[in-house]
Amino acid sequence: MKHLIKSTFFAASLLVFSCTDLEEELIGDVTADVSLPALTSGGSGGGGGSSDPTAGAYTKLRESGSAGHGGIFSVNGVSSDEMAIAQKGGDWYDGGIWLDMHRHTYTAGNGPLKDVWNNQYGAIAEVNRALSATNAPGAQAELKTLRAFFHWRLLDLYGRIRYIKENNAASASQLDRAAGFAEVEGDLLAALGITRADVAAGLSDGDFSSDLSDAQGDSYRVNRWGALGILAKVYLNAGVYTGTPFYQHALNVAEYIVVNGPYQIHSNYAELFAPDNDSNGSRAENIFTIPYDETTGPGMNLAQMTLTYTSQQTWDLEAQPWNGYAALQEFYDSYDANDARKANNFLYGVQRKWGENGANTGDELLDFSFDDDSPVVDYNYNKPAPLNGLEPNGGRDYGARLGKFGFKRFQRPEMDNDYPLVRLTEMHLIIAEGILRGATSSAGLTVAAAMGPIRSRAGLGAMTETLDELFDERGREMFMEQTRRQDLIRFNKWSDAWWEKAANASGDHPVMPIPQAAIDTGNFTQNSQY
Amino acid sequence: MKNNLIQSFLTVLFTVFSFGMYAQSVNGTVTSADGPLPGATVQVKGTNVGVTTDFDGNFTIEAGADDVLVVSFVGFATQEVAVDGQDSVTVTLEADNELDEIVVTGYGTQKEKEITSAVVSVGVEDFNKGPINDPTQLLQGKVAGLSIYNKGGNPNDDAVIRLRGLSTVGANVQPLVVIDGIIGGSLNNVDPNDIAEINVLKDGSASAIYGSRGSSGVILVTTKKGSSGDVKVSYNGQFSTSSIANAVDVMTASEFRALGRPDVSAGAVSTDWIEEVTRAANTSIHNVSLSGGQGNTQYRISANLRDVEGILDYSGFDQFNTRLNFSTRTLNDKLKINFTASYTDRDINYSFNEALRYAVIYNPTAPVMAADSDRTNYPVPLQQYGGYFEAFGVFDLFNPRAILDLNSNTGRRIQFNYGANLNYKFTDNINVNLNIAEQSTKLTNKEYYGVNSLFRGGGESPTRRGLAKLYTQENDFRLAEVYGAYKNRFGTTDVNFSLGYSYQQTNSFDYFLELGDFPDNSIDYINAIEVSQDLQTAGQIQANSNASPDDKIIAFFSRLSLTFDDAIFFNASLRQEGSTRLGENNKWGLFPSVGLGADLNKYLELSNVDLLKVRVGYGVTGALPGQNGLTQEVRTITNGAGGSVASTLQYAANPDLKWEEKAETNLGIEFKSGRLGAVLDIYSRDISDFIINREVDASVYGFDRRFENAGKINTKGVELALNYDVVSSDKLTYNTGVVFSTYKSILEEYVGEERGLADNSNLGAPGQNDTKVILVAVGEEIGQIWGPVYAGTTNGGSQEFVDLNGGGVNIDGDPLADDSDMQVLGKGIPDFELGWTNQLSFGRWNVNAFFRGAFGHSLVNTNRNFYEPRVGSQGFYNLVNTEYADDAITNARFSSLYVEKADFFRLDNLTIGYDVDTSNLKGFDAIGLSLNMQNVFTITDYTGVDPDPSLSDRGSVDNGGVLGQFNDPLVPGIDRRYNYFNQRSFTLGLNVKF
Repeated sequence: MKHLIKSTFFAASLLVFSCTDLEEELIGDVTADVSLPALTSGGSGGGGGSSDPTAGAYTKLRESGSAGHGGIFSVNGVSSDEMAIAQKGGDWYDGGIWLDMHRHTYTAGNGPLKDVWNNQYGAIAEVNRALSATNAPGAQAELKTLRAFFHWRLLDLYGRIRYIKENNAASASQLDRAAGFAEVEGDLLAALGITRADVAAGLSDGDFSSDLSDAQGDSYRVNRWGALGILAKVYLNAGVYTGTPFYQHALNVAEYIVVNGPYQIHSNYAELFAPDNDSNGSRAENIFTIPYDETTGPGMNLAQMTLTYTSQQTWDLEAQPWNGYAALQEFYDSYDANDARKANNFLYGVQRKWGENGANTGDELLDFSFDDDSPVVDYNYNKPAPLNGLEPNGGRDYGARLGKFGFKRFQRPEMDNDYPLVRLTEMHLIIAEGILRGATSSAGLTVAAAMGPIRSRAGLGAMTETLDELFDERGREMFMEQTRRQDLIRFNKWSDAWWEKAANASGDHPVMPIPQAAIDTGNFTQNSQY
Repeated sequence: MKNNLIQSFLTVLFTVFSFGMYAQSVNGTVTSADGPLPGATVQVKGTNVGVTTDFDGNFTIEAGADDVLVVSFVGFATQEVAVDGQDSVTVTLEADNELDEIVVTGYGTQKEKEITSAVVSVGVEDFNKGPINDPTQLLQGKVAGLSIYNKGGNPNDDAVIRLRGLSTVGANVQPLVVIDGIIGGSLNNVDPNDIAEINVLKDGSASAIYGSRGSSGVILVTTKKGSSGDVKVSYNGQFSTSSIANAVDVMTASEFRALGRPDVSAGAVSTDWIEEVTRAANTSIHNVSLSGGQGNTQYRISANLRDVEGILDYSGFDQFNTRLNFSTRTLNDKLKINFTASYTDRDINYSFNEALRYAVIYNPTAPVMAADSDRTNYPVPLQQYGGYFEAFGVFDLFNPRAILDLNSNTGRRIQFNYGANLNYKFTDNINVNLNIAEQSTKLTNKEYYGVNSLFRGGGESPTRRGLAKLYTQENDFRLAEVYGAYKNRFGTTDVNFSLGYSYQQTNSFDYFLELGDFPDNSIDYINAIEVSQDLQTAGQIQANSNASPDDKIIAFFSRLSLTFDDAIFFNASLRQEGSTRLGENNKWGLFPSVGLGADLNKYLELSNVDLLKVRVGYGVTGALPGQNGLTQEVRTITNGAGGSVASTLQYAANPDLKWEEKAETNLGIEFKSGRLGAVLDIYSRDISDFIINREVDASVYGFDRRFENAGKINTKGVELALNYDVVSSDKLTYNTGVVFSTYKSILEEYVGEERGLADNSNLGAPGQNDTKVILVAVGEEIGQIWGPVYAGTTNGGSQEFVDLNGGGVNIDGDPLADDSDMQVLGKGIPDFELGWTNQLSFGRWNVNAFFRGAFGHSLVNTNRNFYEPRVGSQGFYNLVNTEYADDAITNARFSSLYVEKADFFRLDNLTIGYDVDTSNLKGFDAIGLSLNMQNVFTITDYTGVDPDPSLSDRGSVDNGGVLGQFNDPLVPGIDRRYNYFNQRSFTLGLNVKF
C-alpha cells in the first residue's frame, strides 16, 4: 500500500513540476522563410528549386488581382468606360458593388476597393521582408522597384497613402498625394541609380549606377527597362498627382527605352496576349510581364469572368464560366471596322461550339435559361429593353465580351497567358502624347514616327494628330491593360457620361475612397472628397 | 486485472477469517415504504463481507453477533443496524431527503442544498424520448437557458448548443463535456441509452473550476453503473420511421408551365424533385446491457447498435458502440477504482445536402433522365451525364437525383477512450484522486464524384472528369489530473477544501488528397487514386497534411466550501490555467469564483414552505482561440518564376493574444411548497477580450486580418423553471413543468468598425454577394437583421422601398450611412424560449407530451429571397411560391419582404408508454412498450422549412462549392439554402429487463 501511495505521489509531483511548459512548437506549419542553396547547374523545373528571396514578392504581383476577378483589374476596368458587369436578374447584383463601381457611386465600404488595398499592402510587406533578407544589390534594386510599383497602384487609386519601408511599424504617416508620388519616384530612381535631374536632362547609359540588369532577360523579373517603363508611366500621370505635369520626363524615359532598349514592336498584335505569349516571340515587345500559368502560376481567370456559361463548349473549357464582364458599346464602336485589334479584342455575334475548324466553328451555342426570344448565344448590342440595361435585368448575352487575352482549347480555369505590365508599344504612345502636349524628343521622334508601327500593325493609316485621337488610340491599343482609368482622368473625361453612368457622378473624383476598414484602424483619414 | 485479483484475494481472506472467529448466519429483509427493495447492499461494517438482497428484498449474510450491518441503496439514506445476536433483522430504508441529494459538480460532488450556483440535473426519466442519436437531444427544452437546435434534424450533423446565448465569440462555442468525471470527452462516444443523468452547470461560479473550457457551460454526463447483485440483462429496442414534415413551397409543373417558364419536356413530364430525393427513413436502435457485481465490485457492459437513415436518400449511419464501467474498492476500502472505456465505430453516409437545395429550384418540367426531355429544344447529350438530364450552362443548378446517384460521400469515425479514476482515502477527512484518461479519434472521409457527374465531377468537361477526395484526421487527447480533498466539521461548520493539478494535451494529424480525371466509372476510384490522369498532367492535385503542435492546457485549481449551521453555504474556487495557444506573456490566466447561499426557511420557518433558498454566485471562465499557431507568423510556400521557391505570409501573427474572459454573476431563488416547485435565475455576464479574426491595418501587418482580443459583450437574462404535481394519487399522476428563458446580448465594446455589417452574413451567389444583412454595432444587440423596407409596390420588376429618412429612397452605397434608407428588420435571437413538459400516468399507462417554442425571432428566408422573384434570366429555376409570392417582382433583392417572423410553438415529442404486467412471466423483471412521435405539429407563420432559430452561421456557398466549417455566433438569423428539411418520426420502443 505504501508503495502505491508513493508511486502515486511520485507521478503527481512529476506532473506538477515538469509539466508547466507551454511553448508552442508548430510542427505542421512553415514559420520562417525557406532557405535552399542555389542550384549550381542554374536551371530547374521543379523538384525544390533554389530559394529566391525575391520570389515571394513576385508571387504577390501575380496574386494581387492583376488579371483576376475582384482585384485591381476589375476596379480599373469596371470603373472606366471599357467594360461593365450588368446585373442579370438575380445574378451579379452582389450588393451593388459592380453597379456602384461602374456608376462611380462607390463608398468606403465597397468590398473590391478594400481587397485591392489589402492586396497591395500585403504585397508591400512581402517586398520589405525580402529586402531585409537579401543584400544582393541586384535583388535590392528589383525589390525597390516592386515596392514602388505596389505603392504607385495605391497612390493612383486612393491618393493619400502610407509609404511602408519597414514591416510591423505604425510610424509611417499618411502622405498627401504629391509626397506619395515623391516616395514612389524616389524608390524607382534609387533602384535605377539615376536622379530626376538625369531624367530631365535626357538619360544616357552612363547615368545608371545600380546593379539592375540591363539584359533583356525573361520579362518576369524587373530589369532596367522594366523599371524605366514603370517610371515613364508614373511620370505620365504625375501631373494628376502633383498638379505639375512631368510629360517631358515621361517622354525622356520612354524615348530612352525605345532608342536604347533591346526591344522591338512585335509583328502580330494577337500574339502579344495569346496563351503562348511566353514563347511566341512576344517578349520582344512585352518588357515586364506577370507569368501566369495554369499549373504553377494561378491568378488569371479572364475567361471565367467574361464568357457565358455555355461558352465552355466553344473552347472545351475545363470549367464553366460566370457570364460577367462585357465591353461597352461606345468603346466597342470606337474601333474602325478594319482595325485588326477589334476582331482580337472582342467576341461578338453568334457563338458556336468547338468545331472541325477550331473554336467557334461548330454548332450554335444554346442557353437553356435564355431571356430574349432565342436560346442561341449571340453577343450584340441590339437586345430590347430591359435587356440592354445595366440593371436589374441585363441580358444574359448582351454586349461584346473581352477576348483580348486569347483562349485555348481545353483551357483550365487558370489561364496560361502572361500579363504585360510594361509593353514597348505604350512607350511609343507616351512619346506621342508627350509631343502633343508640348514636350520635345531629343532623338527627333515625331508623333507619326512614334505611332506609325502601332497603326500599321492594326492595318490602319496615319492617325490624326490630336490629343482626342491619341486618347482613343490609347484606349484601342491598351484595352484591358489597366490604363483606361488613368487616361480618363488625365484627359479630363472621368466625369463624362457613358453607358449607364451619368455625367458628374458623385464619385467622379480623381481618387477612390480609402476603405472604411483602413479608416477604422486609426492610421488613415478619409480623402476629403468622401 | 491486478486490482481485481487483490480484491478477490482479500475478500476470500476476510471471509475465511470471519468464519474462523465467530461466524453466524443472519437472515433479513430490506424494505422501503413501497415494499421490498431488491438489489440493496448489505455489508458487515469494517469488513469486505457484503451481499445484495434478492428480488424479494431478502438476504443472508455471515456476521458476528457484535457486528454492525450497513444497508445501502441508491436514492435511500444508508442505515446501520447492529446484529446484536439476532438471527433475522428487518431494515426499512428511508428515501433520501431530496435536499441531501448528491449532485455531481466540478471535481467532486456536493449536496444539492449546498450548491450556490445554477446547476440543473436531468435524470433518465425526464429525458426526451424517441430515436435520439445525439445525447444533447435528450435535454432539448428541458433546461432553462440551454438552447439545442439541429435545424431540420440531419442525423449526421451535431446539434448547435448554446447555454445562455452567446458565451464566446471566436473560440469553442460548444459546452465542455465531462463524462463520469473525465473532462474533454466526446458526446459522440456516448450512446444516449447508456446515460443515467446529465447535469448542466449554467453559470460562471459553477464552471469556473473548469477554467478555459468552461466558458460555454459544462455538461456533466453520468453513465449508468452496475450494482451488486445478480447479473441483470436489459434490452432496449427502438424502431422508427421518419418522413419529410415540411419542405420549401415550390411550384408544381403545371403552375410553372402556366407562368410560361421553359418547358423542358413539352408537357410530358412533371417531376416532384423533393420527392425524388427524399424517402421514408427507417431507423432501428438496439441496446443490450449486462450489469451486476459482487461485494465491492460492480460492472456494467453495454452494446449499442444503430442503423439510422435520414430522409435524404442514402444519408444516415451505422454505428456500433460499447461501453464498460467497472468499479471496485480495495485496500480496506481505502482505494476506490473506477474504470470506464468506450468504443464507437460509425460508418457514415453523408449523402449530399445539396440535393435538397437543388430539388427546391430544379425545373419541375424537367425529367430525371435525359431521354425523357424535349429532344428538339433541349438536346441534352444522352450519355454524357450518365443518362441523367442536366441543364448545362445554367449557373448553380444540378440534377438532384444525379447528385445522389452518381457520387458518393461517406466516412468512418472510430473513437476509443478510457478513463481511470483512483480515489484513495487516507483518513475519513482526506482523500486523493488521480484521473488518467485518453481519447483517440480517427475520422476518414471519402468523396467520389463520378466521371459523368456535372456536380463536382466535371461531367461536362472534355478534359478532366471525375474527382476523388480523401481526408483523414487522427486526434488524440490525453488527460492527467490529481486532486486532493479535505473535509471536516468544526462545531456547526462543515469545511471542504480541495486542491489539484490538471494536464491536458491534444495532438492531431490530418491529411487531404484531392485529384481527378478518371477513365470511367467501372470502379470507385477513391480506392484507386493511382489511375488519376491528374498524376500525369499535374497542377490539379491538391494535397495537404497538417500536424498540430502539442496543444496543452495546464492548470492548478482549488476549491473551498463552507457550510454554517447546515443553512448558510459558501463556495469559492480558483483556477490558474495556461495554454500553448496564447502569446508569450499572456499564457496564464486566473479564474476565480465565489458563491453564497442560504436556506432562508430554516430561519423564517414559513408554514407550507418546504424550501426557500437564495443563492448568489460570481465566477470567471476563459476561452481559448479556436486554433493553434495564431501567435506566430505562419507562411505558405509558393512557386516563384523559373522554378524557384519562396514563401508568403499566410496570416498575420498576434504575439500578444490573451485569454478571452467571461465573468458572470448569477442570483438564484429556489422555492418549494407542497406540489409546487420553482427555480428562478437572473444573471449578467460580460465576455471581455473576446477573440475574433478581425480586420487590421494591412499596411502595418502585411495582411488584413489577424486574431485579436476585440471587445466586450454583455448578456443579461432570466430563467424560470416551474414544476407542479397537478394530480398525485395511486391511480393517476399528472405532473407538468415549464421552463422559460430570455436573454439579451449587447455588444459593449468593439475594436473594429463601430457599426458595420458582418462579413459572414453575406447572402451569396447568384447576385447577392456583398449583400450583408446582420448588424454588428457597438451599444446594440447582437443579431439584428438590417436592410431596406419593402413598400409593397413594384416598379419595372423591382421592389420599391420605403423612404425612411425623407429626401428620396437611397438604398445604394453605404447601407449604414445616415441617409441610407435601411433599418433593423428583425432579430435573429428569440425574445424568449419555452419548454413545457407534461407527464401523465394512470395504472400501467403513461403519457409524456413535450411542447417547445421560441418567440420574437425572425429569419432571413433565403430560399424565398433568391428564388421567389420571377427572374427572367433565371427562367430555368423553379420558383418558390409562398403566400408572399408576387409575379411583379422580377429580380432578386434583399429586403424586409424576405425577413419573416419565426415564432413557433411545437408539440415536439409525444410518448405513450405501457408497462406489461410481468408478475406471471417467469424470468422477466420488466417489459415496457412505448410509441413515440417527434415533431407532431408546429404552429408558426414562417413559410420556410423550420422556424427554429438559427443561432450561428456557416456562410454561403454556391455552384457546388464546399461549405466552410466556421460557425459565426455574431451572425444569427439566416435560414440558409443548404439547411436540411424537417422530418417527422414515429418510433416503437421495447424495453425488456431480465
